[in-house]
Amino acid sequence: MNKQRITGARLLACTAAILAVIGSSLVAQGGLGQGGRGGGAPGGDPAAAPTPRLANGKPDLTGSWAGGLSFTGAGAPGVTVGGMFRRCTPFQSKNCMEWTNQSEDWPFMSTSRLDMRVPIYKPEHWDKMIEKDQWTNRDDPVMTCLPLGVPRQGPPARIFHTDTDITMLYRAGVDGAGGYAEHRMVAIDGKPHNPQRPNNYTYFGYTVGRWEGDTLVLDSIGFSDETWLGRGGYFHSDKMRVVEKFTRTGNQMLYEVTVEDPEVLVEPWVMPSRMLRLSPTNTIIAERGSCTESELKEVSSQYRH
Amino acid sequence: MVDRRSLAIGVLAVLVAMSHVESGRAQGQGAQAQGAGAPRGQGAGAPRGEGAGAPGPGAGGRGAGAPQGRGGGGFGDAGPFTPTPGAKDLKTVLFNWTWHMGMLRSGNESELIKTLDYHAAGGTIQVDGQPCTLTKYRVQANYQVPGYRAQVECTRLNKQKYSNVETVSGEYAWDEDIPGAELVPGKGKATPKPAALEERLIRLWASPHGAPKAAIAGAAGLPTTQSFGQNPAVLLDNQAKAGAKSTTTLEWQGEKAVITYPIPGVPGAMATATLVNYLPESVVVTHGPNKTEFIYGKWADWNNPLFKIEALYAGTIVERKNGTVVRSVTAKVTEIGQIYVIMPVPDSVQKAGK
Repeated sequence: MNKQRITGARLLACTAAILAVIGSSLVAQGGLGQGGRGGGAPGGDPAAAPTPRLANGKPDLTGSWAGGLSFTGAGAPGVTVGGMFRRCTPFQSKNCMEWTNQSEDWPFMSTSRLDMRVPIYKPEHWDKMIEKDQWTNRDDPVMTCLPLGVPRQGPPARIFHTDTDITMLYRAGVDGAGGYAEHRMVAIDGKPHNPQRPNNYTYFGYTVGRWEGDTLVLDSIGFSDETWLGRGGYFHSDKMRVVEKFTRTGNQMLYEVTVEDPEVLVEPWVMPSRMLRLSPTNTIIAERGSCTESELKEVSSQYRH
Repeated sequence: MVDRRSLAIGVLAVLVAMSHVESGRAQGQGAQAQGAGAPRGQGAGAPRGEGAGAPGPGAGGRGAGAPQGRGGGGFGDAGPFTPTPGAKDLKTVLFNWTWHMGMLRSGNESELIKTLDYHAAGGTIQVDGQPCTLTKYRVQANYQVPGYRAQVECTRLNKQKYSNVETVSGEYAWDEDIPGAELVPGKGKATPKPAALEERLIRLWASPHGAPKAAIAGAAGLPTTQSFGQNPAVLLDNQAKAGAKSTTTLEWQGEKAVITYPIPGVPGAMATATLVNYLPESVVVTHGPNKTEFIYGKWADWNNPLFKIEALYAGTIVERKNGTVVRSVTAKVTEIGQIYVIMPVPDSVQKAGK
């Protein structure tokens, strides 16, 4: 066991998590130009603002959208978590330091774990999930520099929309400092998935777009099975299908996601929906930074978040 | 490698300091960073609630400086609740109970133990009135549901094998031939056991984690689903102000705190937990003519050595019903880190009724 190496990795992971907290803090304050102040008239109902339309009459989703963290940030009704540190418990050693507690507290604080609206996995996968969770530092794509992919990446932070396509930009650090700046371009032509298209497994899938009334529906298949749906070992198969719905009303937008994966799930998982708000300022998204997969498969100690 | 470690520590220290500054700025409260290891005032980075379903910031679902949401856990300028040495009131005892067991997590010091995966090293269980030597005993509980699934495999005195999966979820109890029976059509068999509901709920809410949860819920005048995830002291203060009536009581027998609370979901069942140094040595449940005793010992962090969780669990559990030992187990390993535990009620069990 390379103890030094593991210790360093744990510290770096902790650092990354704290970075995410501070980043979130700045975001929440609008310090990074991410908005967070909400669109529409100050103090007014964002839904009451007029909904801009494309030339074809459909809602124009163009804009910077706040409130779009991953499932981790979806909230757990009735649960209060917060603060960076707790005090050491009575049975801990005298040398216990407050911040060291956090390495053990992350899993308790993750709202994706606390939310009751979890996917129902087939029983034969339960122990696999637990093992993956226990080996988060080895198996979670967040720890191995992979993209979060759909749906873990959450909704886009910025959208450019035309009559025929939509471009979505995603910001980094949406799940415990994990996730990178990503982009996605989807044609909106109402065509179904092309069964003749060669399999090309990707993190954001093979997506087709259509309108259902004023709701934009993005239907994705062809996913790599390397990503997770969220923390806790929520793996999926390459048979996963994700349907995202975007419904803009004024300066807010409802983001709904349903995950189907008959290989591993008992039933489709309807993720907690998210109401996004138009930011009054344009979100600037930095390019993906570097990432080093420091632990590879050598780990012999566990860490999770 | 050492350089990287040092760098990480340095960065960490700077970021921690920054987090205080940011949170203080955002909340208009003074940052109160204190020395490591000391109880700290949490005006900064302070525990705050998040609105139900509200977007939460990054890691851990909260971030310093994020907008205040529901204020259930906020300590404000008073800092976190710190028990007065020697205090013997109910709030202090319930806080200390969970605090000493490592159940209060995050800066909010909220009670956040949601799930348990317990593996016994061995023991016996009573089957059809006879002892059966356990070859497998695994309990997976989800207190938020609430419910548990116990996988039992044992050998009877006549060497016959016995196996069962006893399950309870909310107001339903059933047995399974395999874990998660019938969740996938055609896989396994679920057998409704409505008569076992109360016994299983008693087992859940008298368990090492279930007992303090139920006692807090009783003191707060709330169902366990609503008292979960709160700082016990803050919750009890808020509920007292709101006029909630406590159904949990406390008395002292020498140095032992004796707490009596109702078993959730079992009308008329009352539990009495006797705490020594804020760890329960026993929980005794009376329900009509029946008395079920749960005797606990060898408290320790039984979590996987690769991931110690800093939360305690009983290393020995003995369950006696009306004087007869019906279950006696010793711990092998626990998993208390919010792992995935579910127990959806199968359609056939729902159709059979409660």
